[in-house]
Amino acid sequence: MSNIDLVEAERRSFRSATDTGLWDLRVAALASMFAIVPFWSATLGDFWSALAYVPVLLVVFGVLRWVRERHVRPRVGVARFGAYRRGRLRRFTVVMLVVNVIALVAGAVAAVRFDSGPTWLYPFAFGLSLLVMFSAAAYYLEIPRFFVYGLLLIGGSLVGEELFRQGQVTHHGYPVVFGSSAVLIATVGLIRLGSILRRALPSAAGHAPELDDV
Amino acid sequence: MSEAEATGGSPSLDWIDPVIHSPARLKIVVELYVVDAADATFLVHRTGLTWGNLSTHLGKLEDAGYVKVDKGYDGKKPRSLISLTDPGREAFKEYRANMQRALRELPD
Repeated sequence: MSNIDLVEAERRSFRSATDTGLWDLRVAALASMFAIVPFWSATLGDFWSALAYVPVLLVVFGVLRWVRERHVRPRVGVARFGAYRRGRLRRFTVVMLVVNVIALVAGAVAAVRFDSGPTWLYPFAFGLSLLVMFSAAAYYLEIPRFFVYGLLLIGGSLVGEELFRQGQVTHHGYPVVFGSSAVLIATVGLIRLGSILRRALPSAAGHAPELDDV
Repeated sequence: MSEAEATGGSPSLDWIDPVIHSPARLKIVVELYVVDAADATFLVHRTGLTWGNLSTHLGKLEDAGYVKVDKGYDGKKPRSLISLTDPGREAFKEYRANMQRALRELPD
């Protein structure tokens, strides 16, 4: 009994409540943006083509939210976590905010200062920022495979750039790299989500009627 | 001299809380100890108990004043959130300490 590891118990509970595959599907949706938007940038420009994809993301995120509320929550249940976990999630938000701001500023500076065609700096810096973000997500959300996703994207960015230089792919390899990554990540997410959706609903109403009498 | 030595080798287990000591209730209390609150679906999934078992054991924990059930709604659906009370948290801490002590004092 002395071996009840409460820290591990809390971690397992948190993962049980959050690792439902929906995060993977959100990441896959974002990765798909980098695969598709380059095809539009020739006509719309980088900014407007990215903006044009936002409605697509909103629809996907809306569907995932509906899936979470109607299908995942009734099967997984709801838990409110304590101060330790809330603090951890707050730190995660701050880290993501800082990394995103640094990446945006660095990207803007690079676009102005080094506007002389593609270099290895772009894909490396972009991949590195993704790796940092995914590492933070893996650490703070306690979903280790997110670190693998980060490695996949930084490796893919460099491979895509090399293939682009060899003339084998277009758009710096983004459609190939991010498209295949999105499919892979979405597959993992769907498998995880599927394992949860196979669980029987507790009742037709989605709650335990017996407990209303406790 | 430890209690086990004083009682000729068998430690007294009187101070082990029988409400928490049941394996099913211990699972529930551990799960509730590491979260602020959870609903029954979460507890069924985490503890592996059936709905009926969970309901029965929660009733006993509630009678002992260790858990409270806050009935509410999530949208239009009823959702009862279950949490440990302060005495419940204290009882679990004490139970852990007592069990560790009991295990230490078990004769070889």
